[in-house]
Amino acid sequence: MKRNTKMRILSMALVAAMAIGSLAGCVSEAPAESSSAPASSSEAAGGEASSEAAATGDVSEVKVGFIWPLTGGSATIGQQHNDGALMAIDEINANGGIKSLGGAKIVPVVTDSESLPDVGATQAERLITNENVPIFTGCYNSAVCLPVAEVAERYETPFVSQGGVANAVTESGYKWVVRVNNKATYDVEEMLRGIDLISEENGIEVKTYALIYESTDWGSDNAKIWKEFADERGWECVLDEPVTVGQSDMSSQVMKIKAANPDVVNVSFYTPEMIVFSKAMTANKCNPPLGIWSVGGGSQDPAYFEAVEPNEYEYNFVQEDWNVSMPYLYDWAAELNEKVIAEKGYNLNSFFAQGWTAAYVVYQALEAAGSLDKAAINEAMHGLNITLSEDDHTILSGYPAIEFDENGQNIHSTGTIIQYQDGVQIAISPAENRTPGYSVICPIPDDFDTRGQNSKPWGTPPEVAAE
Amino acid sequence: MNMLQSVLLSIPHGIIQGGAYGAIALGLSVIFGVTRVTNFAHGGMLMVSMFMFFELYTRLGIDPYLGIIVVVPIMYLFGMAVQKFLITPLLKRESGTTQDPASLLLITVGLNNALVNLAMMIYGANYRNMPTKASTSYLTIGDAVFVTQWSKVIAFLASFLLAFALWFIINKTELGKRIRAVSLNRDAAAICGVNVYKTYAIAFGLGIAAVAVAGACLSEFYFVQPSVGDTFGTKSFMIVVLGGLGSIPGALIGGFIFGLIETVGAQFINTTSASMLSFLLFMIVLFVKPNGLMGKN
Repeated sequence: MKRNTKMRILSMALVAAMAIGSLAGCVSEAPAESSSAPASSSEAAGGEASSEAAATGDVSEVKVGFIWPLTGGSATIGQQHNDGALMAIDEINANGGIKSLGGAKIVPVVTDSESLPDVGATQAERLITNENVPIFTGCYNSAVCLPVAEVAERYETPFVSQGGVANAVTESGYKWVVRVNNKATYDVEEMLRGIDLISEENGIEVKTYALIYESTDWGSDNAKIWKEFADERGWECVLDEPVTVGQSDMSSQVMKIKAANPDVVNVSFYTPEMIVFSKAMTANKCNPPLGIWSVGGGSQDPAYFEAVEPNEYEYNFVQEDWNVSMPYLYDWAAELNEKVIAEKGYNLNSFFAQGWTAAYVVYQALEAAGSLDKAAINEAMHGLNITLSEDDHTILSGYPAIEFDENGQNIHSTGTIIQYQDGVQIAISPAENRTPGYSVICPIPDDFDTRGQNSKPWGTPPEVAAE
Repeated sequence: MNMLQSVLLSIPHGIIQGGAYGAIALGLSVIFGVTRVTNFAHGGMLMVSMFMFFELYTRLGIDPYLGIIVVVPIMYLFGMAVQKFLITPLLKRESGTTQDPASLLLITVGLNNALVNLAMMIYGANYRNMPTKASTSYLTIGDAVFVTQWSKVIAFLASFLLAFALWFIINKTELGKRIRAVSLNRDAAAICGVNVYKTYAIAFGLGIAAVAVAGACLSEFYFVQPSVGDTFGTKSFMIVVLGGLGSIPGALIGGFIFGLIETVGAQFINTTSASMLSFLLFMIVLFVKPNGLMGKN
């Protein structure tokens, strides 16, 4: 009897322990930071069940699905996307909700992909079949966006793919999918145009390059396209190094880079590997003359900058998937930046901005459709034509416009190449976006002993002299 | 730097990295060697110790090496508590019969998930860094021919000290005699008057204290994050199996082999394929020498 009692207590303790775990998982699923806490599912309308109500303007709430990597390798990135999306929904609801649906409020249903393709696909299916969302967005990782796009297609539910730069997301003939941000080809094109510009300005000829990337859809796609564009320029690939995620040290990879002696290195890693790589590059004093170029991922994540020292990212080039000058160009973006700093503790960045824009695009599609019929929303979504302006808060990501081609790819998505100089992001390319008064530091100086000593905290805006 | 140079230089890098792997695996090996429990919460406990070092560093400015004085006793007690309140009741339930591997496995897996998610709730998913003196200063040989962080060199040396300390406790002390007696035959040890479950708790505590020492070394050159144990947890199991379950020198040797394969192997083939080599070797050892390189039949 006594033993049984003990076992019962033990079982209860275990259940409690597991519950703590489950609770932590659930935290990511609850839109806790949104002021528009979800009502009961019967109150929130979505899908076919409420299309009749929507047609008569009798809808008070519309559920919208979000799938972000809130845990796993891309967790910090996913959290920032989620912050941006939920703050956008708050603003939309505060401004009267979806006017074409009688001022219906958007109720975010946030789910966690755990940075895993199968989990992301399951969450998409759950959002569509259980939550009855008429439209949803996510998922950042290319490896997750691809199976989720398949689910959207199968259930004929509009999906705004955010992140997921792999070309296949919009080049697989999907009819229910659009992508607001760059695709991999645009990303790489921007980077190589940036290298062309810098090598021309500084009289340095590029002959060789090295590619180091995580062996996922995103990393592999990026490397493949790099090779295509580099081949066109006659550059030689001296190292092609796919890396399995979960590396605790990259000294061996860095030694291979040193042995290959490339003019320029392109890196595609999410946050944890980017931290390990940057530390290994600095520790081994690896200094390619045209620098280290990153297509984003970890090198855009504020969490990365908390985990590395300024000397470990000084002079690096990053293809930012947004216009880094947004807070200086638009008053509403500047105000939002202050709010984000106060509430979230970090500056506006690529991930927050893109989460925000994705949520706004979902809203714009619902507003334009004026209905909860999925086909009508899909048609409205594909027909969106939005221009960046002071009056419209949709494009925080800073693209000049949003307009989708026949594949669902935004044809106006652009980024900016920046270089870290004394810890500050300096816009470098395209030339017309260059931060006034600054030039590129190239070739990269061999100053490992003093590098980063004068760096300002990450997120410090550049000092631009008044004209 | 040519190919031959990079291969030669990758050897010390591999050995240093292997030392860190071995240090983490040592505690796991001790726990299995004595209690026969495969502790799937090993990575989670490594993470907990790293967050303790992080708190001491950020709140009080205490370097993780110094923090060992505070954290290791706490983790020792934590390990004892886990054994006493979670594992021992299951062992007692199976008393007189064979142990129930499924329930033991599940309880440590559940504990690991609970620890990771608890840390996620408290700290979020961010990566945290401790820019200590040892992590920001480098051992440089020649004109940057061989460069590595001092913290990695210290981790390498610490792995030997840790292995020696564990070996000494188990082989040269009265407590060690009891631990060895229990690991050889717990029923016979009990008949001789040894408190088997108390000895198990001490051994579990020792294993967790050892992983806390490894956590101090690791947090000097790697980031702290709730999922940090995932990276090292699986690797530790493979290292322990490779070196021989329960063998202290085996854990160190297994660590060195893994470190060398990862770094030297990666000079000839890409990193993804080099990782595959580690798994291949692991499978070969399982087939050819199931008790591991240093394991006893």
